[in-house]
Amino acid sequence: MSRAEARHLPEATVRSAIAWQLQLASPDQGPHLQARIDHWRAKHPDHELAWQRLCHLRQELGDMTSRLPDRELGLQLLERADTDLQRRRALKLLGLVLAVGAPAGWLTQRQVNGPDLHTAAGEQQQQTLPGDVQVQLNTRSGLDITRVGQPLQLNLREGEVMIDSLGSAPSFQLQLRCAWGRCDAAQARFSVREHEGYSQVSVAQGALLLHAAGQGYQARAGETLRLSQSGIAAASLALDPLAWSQGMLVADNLSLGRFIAELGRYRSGVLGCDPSIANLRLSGVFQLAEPDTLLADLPRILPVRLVSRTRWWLRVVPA
Amino acid sequence: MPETSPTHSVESLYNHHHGWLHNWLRQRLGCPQQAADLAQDTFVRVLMRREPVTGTAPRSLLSTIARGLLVDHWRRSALERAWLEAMAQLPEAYAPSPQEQQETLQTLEQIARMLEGLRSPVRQAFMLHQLGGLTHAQIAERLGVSSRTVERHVATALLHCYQLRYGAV
Repeated sequence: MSRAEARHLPEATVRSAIAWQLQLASPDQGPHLQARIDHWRAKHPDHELAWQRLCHLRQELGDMTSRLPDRELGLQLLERADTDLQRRRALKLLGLVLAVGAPAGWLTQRQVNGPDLHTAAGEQQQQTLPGDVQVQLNTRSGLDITRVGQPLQLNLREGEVMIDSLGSAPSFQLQLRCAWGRCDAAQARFSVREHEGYSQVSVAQGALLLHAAGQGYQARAGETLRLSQSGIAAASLALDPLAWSQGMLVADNLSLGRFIAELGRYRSGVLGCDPSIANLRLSGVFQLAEPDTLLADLPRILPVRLVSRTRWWLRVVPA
Repeated sequence: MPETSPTHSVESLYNHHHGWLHNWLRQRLGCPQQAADLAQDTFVRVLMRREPVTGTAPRSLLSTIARGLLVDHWRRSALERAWLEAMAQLPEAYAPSPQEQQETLQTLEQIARMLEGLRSPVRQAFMLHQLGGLTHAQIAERLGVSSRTVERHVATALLHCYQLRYGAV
């Protein structure tokens, strides 16, 4: 490593270099941008070094990202994997792996195997568990039954689940672990869904005790909360969180981008939405049984059309 | 240097702490074989360090190194899992060759390591910027934030990458 390579630059200098480079990429540059940049670079050797390093770094990053065959997919994979990684760390911090009292290898082993209950894209599944607990899994979901007895322990591995223990004995307790926390319930009906970076819990009937990031909260019927790294917070909704269990998607001023993402959960393949139309809004009640029919109908209600590159790759673009 | 700071040979570290480290890793990994591999890797890292291991708490050094390896391991398996899921949705005709798959996974791992520690919105804004084809305004629209925020996110990510590459400024 040469001396220049090893030299530490002041953070302010690096920040300035970054700001200049970003301005260069921006559409509204202001007058004489190139001249002002040249002037800045010439003013101090540190400035020039910071500039060169940044160019080099961005070249490296560009080479790296250009090696991804499908960029959208790459982005999705990174997000998913990061959530998974954060979740493992969170689990470890909460000491959940060991607190179960199972052999240490158990959780990992189970994650290698498939979940106890699972659904493919577009599928829903209902099951009655010991203690008269009704479980309904939504599309692409996985649920483990980690302990049968009192309390009944479940672990939502991915996707979305509706739990109904209204028919259970009043003393019957159940615990549902999700990626970002835990729900304790007795005689309640509630739905939990995993999102990137948080778990969303909606209470239909009864009450739940929620735990996340060291916080506790008593949630009542009608409430929807987000559990995340930073604790428990109320969620704002453009999408009815319980309608899926009736096979419906109920949107209230939902952006098209989210609508498409939502439909994507119910079908196989890659479904994308052009950013320029992602902010179009829609409201209404949609049947989830045939997402492709819903997609095909979109051009009738919004100025959009569908483009497909292959059978599994579909994109909604401006009409 | 205080007199109470002994120097440890790698051999004596191995003899005294290998069993403990293996156990420590097994509790976190669950799989004895993987734990043995990572314990081995940890000592290889210690060997490659240029400076000798000193201090009265060599286990904290070992667990620091092991923790880094553990996160690498988890990151790789998280990416593999996400990748396999995505591939499972492809009809066979569109599936990339094993070699392409391997290369893509390695690239993803490099990128993930580079961007680790950034918040998800920052990472997403940066990746969209990096992948090209979108203006800051378009990225802003897609992520539901302002252009100004996108620019701030991209700058944050660039500084983060700079610090990884050239050391903290």
